[in-house]
Amino acid sequence: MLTVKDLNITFSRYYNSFSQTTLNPLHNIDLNLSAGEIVAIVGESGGGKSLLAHAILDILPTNAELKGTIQFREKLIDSNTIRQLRGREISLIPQSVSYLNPLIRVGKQVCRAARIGGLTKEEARMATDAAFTRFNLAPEVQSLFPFQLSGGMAQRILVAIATVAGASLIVADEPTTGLDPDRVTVFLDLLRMLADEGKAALLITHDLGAAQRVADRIAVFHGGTLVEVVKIADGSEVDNLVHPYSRALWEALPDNGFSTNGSSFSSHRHGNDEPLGCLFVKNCDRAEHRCRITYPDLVPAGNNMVRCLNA
Amino acid sequence: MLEAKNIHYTYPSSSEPVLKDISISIQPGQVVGLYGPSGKGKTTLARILAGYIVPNRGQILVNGESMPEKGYNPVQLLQQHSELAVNPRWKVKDILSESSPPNNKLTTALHIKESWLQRYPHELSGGEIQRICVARALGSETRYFIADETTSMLDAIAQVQIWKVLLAAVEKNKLGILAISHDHALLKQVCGTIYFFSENDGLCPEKIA
Repeated sequence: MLTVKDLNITFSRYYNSFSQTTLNPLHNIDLNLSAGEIVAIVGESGGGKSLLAHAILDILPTNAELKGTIQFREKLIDSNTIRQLRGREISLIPQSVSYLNPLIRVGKQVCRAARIGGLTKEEARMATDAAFTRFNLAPEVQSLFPFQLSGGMAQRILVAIATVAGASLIVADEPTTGLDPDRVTVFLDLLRMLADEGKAALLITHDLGAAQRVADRIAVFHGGTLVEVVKIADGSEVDNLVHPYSRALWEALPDNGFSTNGSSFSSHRHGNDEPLGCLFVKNCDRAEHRCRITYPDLVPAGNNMVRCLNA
Repeated sequence: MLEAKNIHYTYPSSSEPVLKDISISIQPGQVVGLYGPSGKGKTTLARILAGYIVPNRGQILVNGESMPEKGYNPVQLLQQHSELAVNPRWKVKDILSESSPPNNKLTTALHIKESWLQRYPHELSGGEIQRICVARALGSETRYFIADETTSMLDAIAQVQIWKVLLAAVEKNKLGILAISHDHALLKQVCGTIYFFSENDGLCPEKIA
């Protein structure tokens, strides 16, 4: 459904009045997503995960330059076609419930999303009612304002808004941050239900535990690129991570040892530099001389795709 | 010892009390965890302990005395949304030295980079601002540290790095920490005592196996 090929994003930034420098926060991204599939993107905070979502929705800041292609159902996404797709075919579940309009009753907000998604007035009303039933919200809730909802209800409203017009690709950007475990479970179950109905979902999160509970594949981000893509069999734990960064991320989880070996920080690549060496090399205990001079490609290793020369 | 004694609090806009007769104490060098569902007053308790809110009834004592009204507050609160706790018009280096001149060892341990110092908060990511806030709150006069979902927006590796710095301060300076989180696995890793915040019974201590 979604195919991202060789995506690169560069930012130009002035460091004094006359000189410009470029940053390359996202590079060499290849990813595809088919109907019925949830792909989780996990990795460093500030490592470019949200930028990927913003690139898909074409809401990058104006000083960003994008190279490579993003295709949705074999059609290239650019600033013209995205207008037709955004809100209809592709929708976003935002990070926080503060994205609801505080002054409009929630039923009306869901209905408005349906209208923007191209439904007629009558259809939108019916779709809204159906969405409320489906997400287990009483009809009376429609006439409440966001501040009258509990956090869990507000989150179901956000999911309703994103799906009411029948979007087939859902991008969820850190939807579970700061929620208590019960609400996280409810949210993940909703996402799974939507995927089982044939929608595709991109779940951006730093919660590896949540990711492995619902996702079909996990893509690990580090230093602005994908370092590993793992398939997850039903109900099994991710224990077969190969890339040293993904392993470090796994071992840092409170349940798996809470350990860290030195720093995990990658520096963003600068646009003018040729890719030289692996970006994880400074923190890697298996680094060899060739890791410093050769930039690794994402290659198959066992069941995973890994960007490591030692894989 | 940081003590909260029989705290009652009702928000002015509401008739229902959020906190009813809550007492908790944190010894120097102790890490206490607080766990419980959202919207039940965990953050309100954190703000009361740090002196941001005055409770309707009950008192907060720092080493047996009431909180100083002027000067450095020995109880430092690290808020959940750190990007709202910094002045957007200040450069990072000014934010960092707001409480006391930054300690080089600390900034290195938190992986704060030299290049961030000349930037404004909106040019850093949430996780990077969080590190700045931790460094700012760990001034030499800080005795107690209230960590309200401090690492919930960070990846697992950054979470470990920040907690290592905090636990080192517990060890070395006998800092007392109250850690509020939804992540039970994290609390089990870092806390000696964990309380469950329940609506009806207030704070219940939880046994750690």
